[in-house]
Amino acid sequence: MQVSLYRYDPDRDVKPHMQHTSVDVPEGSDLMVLDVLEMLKAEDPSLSFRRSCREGVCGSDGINMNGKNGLACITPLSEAAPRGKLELRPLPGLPVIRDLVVDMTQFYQQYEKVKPWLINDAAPPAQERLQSPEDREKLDGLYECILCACCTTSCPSFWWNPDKFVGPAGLLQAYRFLADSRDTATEERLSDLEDPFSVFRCRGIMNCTSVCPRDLNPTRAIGKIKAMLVTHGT
Amino acid sequence: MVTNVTSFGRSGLSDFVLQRVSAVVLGAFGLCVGGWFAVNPEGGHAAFAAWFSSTPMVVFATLAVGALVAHAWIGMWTVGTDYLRPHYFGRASTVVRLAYQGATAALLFLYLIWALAVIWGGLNGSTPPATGEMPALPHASAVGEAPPAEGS
Ligand code: SF4
Ligand code: SF4
Ligand code: FES
Repeated sequence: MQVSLYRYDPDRDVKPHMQHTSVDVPEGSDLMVLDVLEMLKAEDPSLSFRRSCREGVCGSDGINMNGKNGLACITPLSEAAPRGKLELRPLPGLPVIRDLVVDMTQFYQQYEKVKPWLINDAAPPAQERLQSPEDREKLDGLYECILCACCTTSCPSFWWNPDKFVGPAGLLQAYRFLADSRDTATEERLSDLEDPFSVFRCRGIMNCTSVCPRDLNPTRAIGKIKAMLVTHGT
Repeated sequence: MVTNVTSFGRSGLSDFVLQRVSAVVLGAFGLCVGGWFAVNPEGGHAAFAAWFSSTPMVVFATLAVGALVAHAWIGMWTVGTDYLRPHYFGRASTVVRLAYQGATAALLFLYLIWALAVIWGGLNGSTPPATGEMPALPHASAVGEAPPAEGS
């Protein structure tokens, strides 16, 4: 299989370039893209990428495969490169540290902005804050995010304003705490999101939803935040 | 750096609501005017002018012009803050963006004055003046934020 790889080593290269190479994929197998990366790294140990769990749980190997973001470890070659040619690039829109490794600082800063923790000033009960099964259900489709950044780095609004638009991953978590019956900071959270950029830069392009490897739907969560803002603000 | 200072209401929420409300107003106005032509296929200029200069239509048209200006400003502001960025223009981006916003504001203000002159000019029973002699154009020199392009 032919593979094009984005290569950049700041110590050696003035500019990034594409490296064209190939790997022998065993007949009749359907390897994951991460397997191909491991094979390439065995030949050229200088190739850099992040990975850990190799089963879609840790969120560290988000990359761009033939133009679409996803986790290399759970994306089979048949899906990433149906025509037999694989092109691998780092996640778009973030500074590249080396090869497929990007600097996630801006992504985490936006995540931090939404205060992704439970706020409740009431004295905690002896054991735990209880929630009805119905209230707990409202968090389904929100809490499962593994912060792989596939969504946020595929969002044009984030590319244009990465310092101001929270991005789909951060907003999914913003809604996860807005929707939590135990959280008491709803008003503060909403007023932090009211400016023209944090939420309202989302133009409903839905790139985020189409790439999420966990099949989550940030666009829907963002719509719910907007609806909450409208009802609370008027 | 891109900031909120020049946004319409400085709040994304009010911009968002205004954008939608103004879209509804514009849609209704479009349907209303289109509807007149649908029920009066033989209309003619005199009949249209008489209908259009009735008080309810004057009020509706004024509202629609206001909605258009607000809608256009919010939309153009958003486009400018998306694309006229340091990424493309380096340190000049603030100047580029302010020039773009100034030009947009000047143009919208011109349209506003012009449209109001047309709409309210028809109220006293006279037909609106032909396009060539629009009386509103001299108002352009009254645009405070316009770049000094028009020799004002
Ligand atoms: S729906 Fe919103 S957050 Fe998702 S990719 Fe589009 S603009 Fe970005
Ligand atoms: S929402 Fe999906 S794509 Fe986005 S960071 Fe979470 S798991 Fe990744
Ligand atoms: S290696 Fe952990 S998600 Fe792919």
